[in-house]
Amino acid sequence: MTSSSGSTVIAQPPVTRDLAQAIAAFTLADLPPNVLHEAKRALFNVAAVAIGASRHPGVDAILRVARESGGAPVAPVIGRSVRADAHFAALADGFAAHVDDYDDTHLATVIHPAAAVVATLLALAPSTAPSGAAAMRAFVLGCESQLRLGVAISPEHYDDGWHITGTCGTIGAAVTGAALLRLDARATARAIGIAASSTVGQREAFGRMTKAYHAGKAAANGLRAAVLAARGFTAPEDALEAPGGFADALATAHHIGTLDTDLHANFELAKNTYKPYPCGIVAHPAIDAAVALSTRIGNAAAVDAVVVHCNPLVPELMGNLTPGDGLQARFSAVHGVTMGLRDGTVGLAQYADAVVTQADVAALRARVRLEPDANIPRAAARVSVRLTDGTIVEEAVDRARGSLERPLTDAELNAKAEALIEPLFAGRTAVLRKAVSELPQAADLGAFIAAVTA
Amino acid sequence: MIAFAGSAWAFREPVRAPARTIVLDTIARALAGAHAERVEIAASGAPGPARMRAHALGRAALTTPLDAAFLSALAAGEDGGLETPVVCAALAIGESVDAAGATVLDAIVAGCEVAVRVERALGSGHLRRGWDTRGTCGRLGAAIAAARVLGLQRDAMRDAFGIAATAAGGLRAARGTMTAPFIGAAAAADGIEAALLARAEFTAAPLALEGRRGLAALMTDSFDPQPLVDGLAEIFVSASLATDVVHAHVPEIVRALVARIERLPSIRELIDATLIAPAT
Repeated sequence: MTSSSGSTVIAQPPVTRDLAQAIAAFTLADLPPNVLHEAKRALFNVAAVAIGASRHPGVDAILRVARESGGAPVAPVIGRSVRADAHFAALADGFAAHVDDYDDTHLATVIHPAAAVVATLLALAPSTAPSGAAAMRAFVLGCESQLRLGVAISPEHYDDGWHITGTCGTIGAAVTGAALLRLDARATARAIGIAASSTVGQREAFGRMTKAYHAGKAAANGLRAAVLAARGFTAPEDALEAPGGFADALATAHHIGTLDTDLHANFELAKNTYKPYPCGIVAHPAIDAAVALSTRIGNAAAVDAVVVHCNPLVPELMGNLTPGDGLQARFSAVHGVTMGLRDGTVGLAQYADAVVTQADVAALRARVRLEPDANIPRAAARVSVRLTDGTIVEEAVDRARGSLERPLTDAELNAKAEALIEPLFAGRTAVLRKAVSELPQAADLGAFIAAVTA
Repeated sequence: MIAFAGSAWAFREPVRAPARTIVLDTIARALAGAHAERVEIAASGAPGPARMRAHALGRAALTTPLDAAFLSALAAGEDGGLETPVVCAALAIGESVDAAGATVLDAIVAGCEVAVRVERALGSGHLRRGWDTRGTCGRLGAAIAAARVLGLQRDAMRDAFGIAATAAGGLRAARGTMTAPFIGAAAAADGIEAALLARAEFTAAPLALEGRRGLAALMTDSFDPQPLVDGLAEIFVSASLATDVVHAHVPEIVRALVARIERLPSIRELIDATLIAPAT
């Protein structure tokens, strides 16, 4: 461990160089079948989520700026028929992939790895024309690199207040770009070096549009780092571990020297998970319990008081008791529980601004209390409901749906994607599923791009 | 501080005088570096059909305002300071909307003032943590300057500031490589991006600098908000940024235009003059 402000400088192993060498040497054949399957699930999920969010006002804002001031519109934009320059396409896609807080999550680091990576992949597709296998390789490398980096600076980095999806995502996006541009190990290290000086993401942005901007900006910044490195732009080649480098500057304590650079085993991507509910993940066990209780309580008007026994991270990360809109509601555990009790299902509809601000929803929400308990694990929760007639009904959840121990099945993931995609593009979910499934054998990204654009 | 920066006041003499020097300093550095290897490497895009276009200082090719600001600051950035992203952002966005010289100059005053005040508020801990102030304070100043050129009012300006704040970054460990001037270049482009996004109603955290998980909490251990507001609008601390770099290779016409920049009906006259400057 080193301290960013400590006076002693401990020489670190050359992890940037080692990682860059492993990235350059990596072939898709090195990937165990279960990890490739997980990569496909991650890509399918993030594409569906981004399509579902493609009408968000934040996407409109980014595309308006692209139209006003951008370069030649060459890159596809998820869910839309317009194109944008690579920079703004990356911003729009990364934003859409993350704004509903419905994308994939690596629980140990709370990184959402696929958002920035898929955005970089699509933005660079026109200029790099990758084969399906090269695209999948770039996707895997971008996710895996940022996850391993995240592990090496956790938990301090996130606890300090950084939005790890933006910071590590910038490095991941640069790696995806480096892979698409077929950079050698040295140029890959330089791409990482430029990206280390392009990091983005403070947790103050949670509940604001800027939170999802972090994922889009990570993609745009990583993309630029890779393109510059490809042209010979110079940068530190030890940026992750150098004194005053990425790890020192972005974590009050870290163990960057332990960064696992062997890309043959121990894939963090295998531990990726998919959210059943579009909100902060720590509230999911409580929402599971609320959904289960909804059939037992019948009419939500019969609810008198609700106590949510939960891990202390729930109020810490999702403690907003009076959300004013859908974005804020994503950081409100009491809103998620309220919706689970009232509707028996918690999807995008339950986070519509009009629903969040409804008077009877606010009234029910006010009857829900969070009771943090350090003995309750993060994947568990117990919800106790007292009805107006005095009856008490209770539901305990040990392992949340969508957790590592109880992952969403392929069928559940497909149902989630259908709910996101079909209202916008009927029949498209199956097309996307096929394009992702066959991507490693595809000649190019054409089928995938056709599946995700309007 | 943002209310101050977003007000529509025109600044008066003698406040504008150091800003003119800062503009000339930056142009001098940018012209000296306009065709340096790092800039040639980074120069890429032609503009698309978009209405807003601009030139990097001393470079003939028309490009996007983001790219123009990036390349100008990359050229100027070898030994430029906080003012580099501010000036380069203001000139590029100013050209792309055909702003008046006074608008651009006053935007630079406001942007530099914010950048220096934030630098003082963050204190020495900010540098000790490894951050390059061009990518942090300079990025905020660039956003303020660009927002002012676009005429954003208080709420939108606060959003521009918040968008730039959460993108703050850049490591001093990059010194000695092209990535050091890159930090100021990215900050200049991001300042414009933040302002354009805010104008398009993209929103950000209201307490992006001083909030519990905001820039100051994350990037320094010596934050003192007092310098943000002490003597605001009375004492212009950014005058300290005006250094007298050697302007010898700046063409006379450029110097003459900067000397009366606040009277130029269009900033384009000044940008155009830099394009015919002989490369050095």
